[in-house]
Amino acid sequence: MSVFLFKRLLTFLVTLLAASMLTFAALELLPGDPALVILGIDASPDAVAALSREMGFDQPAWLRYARWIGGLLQGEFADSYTYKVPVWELIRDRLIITVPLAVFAMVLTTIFAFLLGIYAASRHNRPGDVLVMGFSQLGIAVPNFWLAILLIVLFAVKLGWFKSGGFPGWDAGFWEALKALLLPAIALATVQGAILARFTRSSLLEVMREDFVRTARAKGLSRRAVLWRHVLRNALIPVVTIMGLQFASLLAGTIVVENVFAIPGLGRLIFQSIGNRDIVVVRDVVLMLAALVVAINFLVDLLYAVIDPRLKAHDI
Amino acid sequence: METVLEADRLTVTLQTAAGPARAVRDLSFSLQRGRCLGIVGESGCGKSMTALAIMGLLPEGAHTAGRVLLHGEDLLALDDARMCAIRGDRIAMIFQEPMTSLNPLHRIGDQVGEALRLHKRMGRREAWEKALFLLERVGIPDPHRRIGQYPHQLSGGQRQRVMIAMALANEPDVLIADEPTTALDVTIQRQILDLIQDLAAETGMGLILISHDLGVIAENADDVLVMYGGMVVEQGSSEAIFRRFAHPYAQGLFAAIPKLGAGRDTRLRTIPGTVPDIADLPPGCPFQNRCPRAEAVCAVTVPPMERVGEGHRAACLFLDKAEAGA
Amino acid sequence: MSMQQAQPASLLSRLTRGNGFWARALRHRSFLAGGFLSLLLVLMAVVSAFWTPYDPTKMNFRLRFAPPSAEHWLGTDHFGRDLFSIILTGAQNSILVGVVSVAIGLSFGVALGLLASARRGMTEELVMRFSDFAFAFPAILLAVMFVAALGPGSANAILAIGVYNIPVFARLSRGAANAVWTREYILAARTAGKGRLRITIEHVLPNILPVIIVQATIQFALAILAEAALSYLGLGAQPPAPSWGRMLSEAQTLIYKDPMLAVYPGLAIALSVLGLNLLGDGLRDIIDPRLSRRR
Ligand SMILES: Nc1ncnc2c1ncn2[C@@H]1O[C@H](COP(=O)(O)OP(=O)(O)OP(=O)(O)O)[C@@H](O)[C@H]1O
Ligand SMILES: [Mg+2]
Repeated sequence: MSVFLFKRLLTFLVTLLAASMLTFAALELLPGDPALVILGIDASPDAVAALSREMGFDQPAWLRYARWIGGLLQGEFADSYTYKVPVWELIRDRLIITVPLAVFAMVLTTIFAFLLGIYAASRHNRPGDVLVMGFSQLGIAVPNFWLAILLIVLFAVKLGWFKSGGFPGWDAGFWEALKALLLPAIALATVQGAILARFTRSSLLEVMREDFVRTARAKGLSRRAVLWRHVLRNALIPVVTIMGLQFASLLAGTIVVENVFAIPGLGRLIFQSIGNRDIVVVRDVVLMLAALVVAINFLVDLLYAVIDPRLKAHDI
Repeated sequence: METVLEADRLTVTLQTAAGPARAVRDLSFSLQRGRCLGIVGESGCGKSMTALAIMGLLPEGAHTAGRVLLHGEDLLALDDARMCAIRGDRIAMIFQEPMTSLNPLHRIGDQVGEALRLHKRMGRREAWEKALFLLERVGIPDPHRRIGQYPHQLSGGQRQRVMIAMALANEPDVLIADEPTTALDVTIQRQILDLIQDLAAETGMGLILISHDLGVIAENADDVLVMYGGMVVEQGSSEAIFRRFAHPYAQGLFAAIPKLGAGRDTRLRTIPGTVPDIADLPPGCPFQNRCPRAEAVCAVTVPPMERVGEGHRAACLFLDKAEAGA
Repeated sequence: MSMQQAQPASLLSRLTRGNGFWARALRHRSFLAGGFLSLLLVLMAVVSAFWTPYDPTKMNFRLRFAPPSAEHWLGTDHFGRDLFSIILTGAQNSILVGVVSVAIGLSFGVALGLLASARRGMTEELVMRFSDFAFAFPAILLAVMFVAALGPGSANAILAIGVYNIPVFARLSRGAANAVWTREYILAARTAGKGRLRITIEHVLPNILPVIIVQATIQFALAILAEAALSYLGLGAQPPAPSWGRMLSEAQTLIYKDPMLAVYPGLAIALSVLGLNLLGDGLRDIIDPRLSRRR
């Protein structure tokens, strides 16, 4: 394996390890006896003590941490306190909603940002540019859950085109399910799209000042041809990094937006599990989200190598 | 002799933070087929702006006045679409910075072939073949390998050769070389200049060679144009000018060249003072604050170009009349 | 230049000429807009501390869902409370969140950044890995866990946001400080025998202050957004303390009755955040004109 890949993989593992420790530590602080959570508040102290012993809640923290991680490594998940099923089953059912939602939002973000960013950069300092940049400032300032509520008010309450929330499941048909994800995806994508549009624009403008752009113009290429053939790919390199970070934000953003639209995804699961003190669910979901985030940044690094020949030479 | 390019009172006004600045003022010259026009002057005197004005590639917000005639057609009056058809085909340019003038993400062959595909409507395969020929022609060693490589895999000198191959692709009528060797090692400088000269002679194109190095100009140019603060202060044929400089600035430049054979102790002479900011030029002669001959009148009158000899003119109110008559 | 000055000039044109900080600020339109909005936010908070048209907590069941009128500028909510008064008072909460969380992030973050830059080596590596890690971890997830662990409430929400700000400032100030440490006069100071602590306080800190102020403005805006989200989820400010985020979660249950209830608080958040962002971007342009020209 190459040095580059090895280094990235190492970072990947270390980050996951740190994330698991942090999650575990944070949940240690969480008030409430898990045995009490499982048995309900009416349970007798004896029963609580017995269950604590049985489940190992009375063991030292490091041992419980080791057991958690050891279990995960063997593909064993604990049972949720509230749902009484293995956590993996809970996660699996929600993953197929949240990941498509985040991907959908990312696709919208990208389309939105590239169209606006390229338009604004090609009309640098002219009214079109100023207008787009003004709107993007507004887009960044809007809280995504407020936008979500406004979308519900407009498209569900006033126009009745969409349901105000919920998810019919993929069994209801692909388009039906996608339709249920459209408003949440727009709510998520507007803010990120505004950020990415600004970033795309400034990256394009930066590259447009490079010497090789002048060389391309000197060959006789029109402004437009230079933009598409020479500027865009160069400008993409920093933009891709931001996109990786944004996908992480989108995943995390589902915590809020899934709550607005009452979508039974990971975000809602983690939020409810925290409320229920369902520690085993919380720690696994958090770790999984962290893993997804790190994995995406890993992919972004690989993508660099595809875009930039300078990296191939010595890093992969 | 056939005139290919002619500038007539070319003026370039740039938009700067401090307001409009005239980077080039009333510059006129004519360039004949197969000849080399050298433009020389200190950094910031407007050499590159002159070149970019001819190419129609001035920075945003720049204005031009006067005319630039290519075979009698005024380039400054053309819109960008018409200019695009001329750029890279009839006029080509080599830039100052070989390290950054190539697109880091495209292969050498694609970059050289691009102008061919654009202007000659060649296919990918044909353009690649021609690019290979051009790379060979500009003396890139192992062109079969280099053609598929990326710019970062080439040295500065090789990249400049690639730039030359690119500029020559369509055998232009005019080639502008803006300090093609400034960023290169001394040994390589000579090779690149010789290469440009050879190719220009071979194809019969008109060459504009820009440099801040009077020595380079002396060796290569047929006609010389000395610039200062955006203005032409002296111009004429190489022989006439190098026989005797008339303008005090050009004399200063000449004296600043280290002479071969001069003893190690001889101090290199430099022109005292600093180059004025073009956004804040004084009225009158731009050279007044550094000129040994300056008098009160220099602060109010812009000196006109005056004849000092056969095909030799200079702009100074105090040209040595005795010399001028000679 | 000198000829222009001889001509009579209005006060405004005299103020906006030249290249000083204030002249550039007064020419910068989005900075002015941002400054205006931010000032409005502060004004709302200050005024509401002493006076509001109505008591923002006083219910009036005869006057529920009243439309905007001369008495109630924005109408009333489902408890008949005056919306304008609540929105006004909500500004206090936003300012509090912004100030405290930025103060936490700034004091610890800048200290860490400066330390990393002054000591280099292991210390720097440690600080940077810590902030890298925090960056990989989405903010809202961290905040939700944090608040869940400590229990919901304004103080804990602010603390969570403040903690998240620490690595932001640590990374920024370390980068800026490293650039300062390489300058000549620092070398001179070092050869003169000044200690690292003294150099940090006398030279490094004043030099990186502008970047930090710009970032503080941006983080202020982000803090308002984050707190609104936490309060919306019920993890932040608890009733009856007026909070724009919580108003929105209440309004959501009433969108079929009165959708306008969901408009005003969101608008208040968006305009505050917009104002602070414009202010921050404007400051960056004005402090470093080199950057602004590149935009
Ligand atoms: N984009 C620009 N905007 C405003 N002013 C510029 C710009 N580019 C160059 N200038 C100014 O225009 C003047 C002429 O610049 P030019 O590049 O033509 O000089 P030059 O003679 O080529 O110098 P060098 O030998 O350094 O290349 C300089 O004073 C420079 O500061
Ligand atoms: Mg130049």
